[in-house]
Amino acid sequence: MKKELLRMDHVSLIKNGETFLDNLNFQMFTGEIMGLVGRNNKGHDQLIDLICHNHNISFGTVWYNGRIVNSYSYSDNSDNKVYVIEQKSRLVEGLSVVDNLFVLRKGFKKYFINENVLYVQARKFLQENEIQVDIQKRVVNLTPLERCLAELSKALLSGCRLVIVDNPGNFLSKYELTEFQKMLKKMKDKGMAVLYIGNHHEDVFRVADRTSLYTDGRIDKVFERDEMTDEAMAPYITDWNIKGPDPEPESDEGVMHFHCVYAGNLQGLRFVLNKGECVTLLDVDNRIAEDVAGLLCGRLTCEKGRITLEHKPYTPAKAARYLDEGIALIPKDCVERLLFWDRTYMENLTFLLDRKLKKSLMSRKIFRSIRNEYEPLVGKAIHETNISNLQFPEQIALVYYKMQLLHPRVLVCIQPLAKGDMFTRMKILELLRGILSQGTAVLIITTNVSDTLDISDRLLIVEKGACTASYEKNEFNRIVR
Amino acid sequence: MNEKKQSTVKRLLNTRGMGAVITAFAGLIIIYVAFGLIDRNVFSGQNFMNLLRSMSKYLLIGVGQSYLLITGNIDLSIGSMVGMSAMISATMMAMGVNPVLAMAVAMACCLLCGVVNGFLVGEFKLPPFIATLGTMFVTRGVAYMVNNNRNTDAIATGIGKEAGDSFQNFFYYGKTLGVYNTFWIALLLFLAFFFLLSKTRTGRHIYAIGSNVDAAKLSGVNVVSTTIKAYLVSAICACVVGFILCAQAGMGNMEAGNMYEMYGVAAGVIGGISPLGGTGLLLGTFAGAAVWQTLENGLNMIGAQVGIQRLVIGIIVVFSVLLDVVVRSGNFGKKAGK
Repeated sequence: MKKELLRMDHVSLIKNGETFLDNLNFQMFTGEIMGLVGRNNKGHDQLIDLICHNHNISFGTVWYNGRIVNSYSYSDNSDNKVYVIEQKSRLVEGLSVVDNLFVLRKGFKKYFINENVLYVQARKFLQENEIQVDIQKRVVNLTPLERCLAELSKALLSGCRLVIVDNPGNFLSKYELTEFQKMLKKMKDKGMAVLYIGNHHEDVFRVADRTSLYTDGRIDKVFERDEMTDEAMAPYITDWNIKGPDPEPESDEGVMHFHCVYAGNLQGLRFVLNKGECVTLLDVDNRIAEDVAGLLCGRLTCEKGRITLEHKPYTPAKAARYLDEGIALIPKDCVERLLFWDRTYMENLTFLLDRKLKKSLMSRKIFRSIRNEYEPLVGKAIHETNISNLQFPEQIALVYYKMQLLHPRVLVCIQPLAKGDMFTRMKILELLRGILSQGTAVLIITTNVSDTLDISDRLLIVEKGACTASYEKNEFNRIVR
Repeated sequence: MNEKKQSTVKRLLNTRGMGAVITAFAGLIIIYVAFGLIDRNVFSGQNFMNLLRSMSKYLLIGVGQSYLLITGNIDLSIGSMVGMSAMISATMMAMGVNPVLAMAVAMACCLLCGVVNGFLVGEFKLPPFIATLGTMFVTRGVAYMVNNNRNTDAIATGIGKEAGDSFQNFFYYGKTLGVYNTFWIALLLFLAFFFLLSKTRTGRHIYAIGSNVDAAKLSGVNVVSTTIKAYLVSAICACVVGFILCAQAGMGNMEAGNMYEMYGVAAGVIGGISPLGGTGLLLGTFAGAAVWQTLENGLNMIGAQVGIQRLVIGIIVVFSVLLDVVVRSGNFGKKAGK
């Protein structure tokens, strides 16, 4: 009989007024692969974190291996024996597989390392578990599949009975994914529990024994083995492939065109961005954001197709000085990646101004004028000399004001609403509206459309690197958010 | 009017890093007065002038090193570059080459080293400690090889007594408005680089890459060229210090500038330049160099042993860095919390 390994009973997690997990009920058994398909990413990171670590929760109780490990009344911040396999490796890249598996293991007490003994033990262990990895290879040289298998071995060796596999389709090829899923089934037969998280229900159904459908931090439905079909899933998901309008007609208008662009994960991406228009690209596979940003910032070049800006080719040379070309980028985690923590509010705000004014020396008069212009909007924060003293929404606002001041032709925002509470998200949308009203074209790349549709004029669905559907504003009500 | 004055003072006091500068200047005054009370000669006009002249070398080296510390880098070759500059210019002058041409050649060599350092660190991403350690040995090697592994003859033997004296007076022994020229030269360069750092785009970019290199890249800052510029400033400062040492001795010494890289770091960090990059004011380096020289001068005057001098200065440097790290860790805590 299968033993219950994990139970999350009516768990809620509310932080800064935002609900990440909402009365979540979740149960896993040993020797089971539980699928988890998320309709959006809200609470995704928090759920994984809560399974791994017993951090504070707002309501509910968590059982692991038959005992209460976390509850709303007491959290001891201890760790559960859970291993997460995700895009980011947890192995030390500079060391060999065998070093990662055996030497960097809790409980490895030997001071002098006999490599021969280590190799013999490692080979025996891998053979027993039918895992094929070259143990002498350095982690940095492993293929993604080998890396996942090495991590799986590490999980086994560390005694983890539950492994969370987070969207392997994002970093494994189709062949590798099939092989990895076979290996997960073997591990399941040995009594391991696997929580398999995926964006595509087809991938998850192939490997899971049960699948939970997850939205906004709660489980909507659990599909049993016989229910895991496309038909059963259909009412619960947004069908992006319904006959929408043509993906994107080639238009002569517009500030920026992507003409059937192939680069990295982009497989013939094409769209047009008009002046003062906000277009949201829904990145269903969570793959294209870095590539689009890379193309626009000169880190990547088109393999096929072309990009035009104001009907002129946007060449790699132009991309290398993208800010001068009128393109600005707000990356994910923009506060960490765009602010200078040792500079004052005004210095951060005006950092890009020299570029716009094409001046190396700027008079105090200009600074004063900007301060006077922004003070009514920003408030006292504008006088702050240490921006780490500011609240998170104020720091976010600083990033957007900085862009407003730069007044680019195109502003690319990657996952702009990924962080922050409701108030922050509303603030970001308000700031984006301000930027749009200046005539700047805004391109939002996101994996979750929920709030961005409020300001978007068009929504383009991007799957496997190409636009599969396009919706105008008046068609947004057809989309289940 | 009064309101305007007040706001300027308030603005100055609110400038980030000004606290460290004020602390360094306060420390300088306390040290100077304390030594003066022990030995009245410390207050004498001649000693004060000597103090200004001696601190000029540390000020220039400190300015060069501060530029790099602000970018989050370091230049270990700066002392060897001083030696190279002194030896190249002295060797050429001892051979009868025009001093201006000799200085131009020395400057070109130093600038080349600056570019190499900048490329190694900025373009090839070598750790600055290792990259400049390499160029430190190379430049010291050049300083040795330039005159076949021996110090040069007196420069006056080549360019003549009159030209030799002019050179020495211009850089070391001469006075303008009652103050040694060495100080004026250092002050001029200090003001120029102060302006570059605090008022120009380049200066902002230098702070930016030290503060958050990722943000700097996303803001279109050319990290490689900015790094090279910072190393060039350091090279120019080292070269001028080389001329000063050459003028002081009237010849080229292969060991000139030995350990100056560390004096530069000390002057910077005492003045509040963060070794972690991104913060600090060049005004602090001025105070740091003055503190360093006043300590050395005062301890000499009261007859303290060299060991004691080193010990005191070492403790002050460690204390300054500790202060910076403690202040920074407070900030980091806030950032993480958010």
